[in-house]
Amino acid sequence: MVVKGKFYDAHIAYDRDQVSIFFNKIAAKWGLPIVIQEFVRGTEVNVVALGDGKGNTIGAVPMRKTYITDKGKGWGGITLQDQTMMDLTQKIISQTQWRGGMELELIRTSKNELYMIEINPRLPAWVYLAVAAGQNLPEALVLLALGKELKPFSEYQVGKMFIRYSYDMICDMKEFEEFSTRGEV
Amino acid sequence: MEKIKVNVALSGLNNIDNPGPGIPVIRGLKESKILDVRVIGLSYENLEPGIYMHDLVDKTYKVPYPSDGFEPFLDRIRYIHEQENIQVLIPNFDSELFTVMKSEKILQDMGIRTFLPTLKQFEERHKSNLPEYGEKY
Repeated sequence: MVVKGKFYDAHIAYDRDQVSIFFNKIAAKWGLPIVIQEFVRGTEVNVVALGDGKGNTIGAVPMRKTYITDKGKGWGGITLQDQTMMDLTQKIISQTQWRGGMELELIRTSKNELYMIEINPRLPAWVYLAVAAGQNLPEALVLLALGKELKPFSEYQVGKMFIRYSYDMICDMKEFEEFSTRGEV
Repeated sequence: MEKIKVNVALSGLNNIDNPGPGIPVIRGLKESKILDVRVIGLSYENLEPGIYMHDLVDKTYKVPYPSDGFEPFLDRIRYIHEQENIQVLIPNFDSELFTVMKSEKILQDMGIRTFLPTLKQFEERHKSNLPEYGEKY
């Protein structure tokens, strides 16, 4: 089974005792409700999308995670050509008249079935992959917020990849002190 | 064509190993051929890397946690708005979405626009409601 918090955290539990342990752990940290559901084995695929609030999908880019960290976060991914994922996204956006950014988190099983595991109501951290693939969704979101009419994106590049990396940025302690004390920098 | 100048405030500057969406969103905005964006960062912690990324973030302000309640958050946004004339606000954390959605009208009256799901859309898609959501849509 998988034990999940309302906003954050998820653990795979292999027996009843582990379910109880993770339930209490997540409840103590993030509160209730807790979701307990069947563990679905497969590949993690996601879609980043933007709805205009009138039922139109302004943009959508599907991606498969190519590297997942021990925290379960994507450290690499590649854009996909996947009509089923696109159809699902457009259906959700049109039927709910979704307004704003959205991330669909899905599992594709070895039998090619798709299971939805989460809908995040915002742009995800990997949104720059969509920008690089030809859909500047952050720009489109700001234009929509400003009341501009937008034509939906019609394409994106398939096979674009992102590889996350860490980097030691150097900054002055003076700036850190200024932000810590004055709250702006 | 002259670019549209716009002041955008956003959070999620925690560009760490489990990053918030702030910096990737800013990269998209800064590459825009239509918009000339001044980025105002909103940060909860002193060590969020985005605070110190001056090539991407023009100015950063510390903000109170959403769990501190609506008023402290709105008071701080009001102050930042007086300094920066925020035109668009993009909350990038799940935990602050509810506060901003609830404050949408107040923000709008201040002249700050958002582009977020409605509260109904937000509540319906919670993980615990997904089976019913799937059947409905």
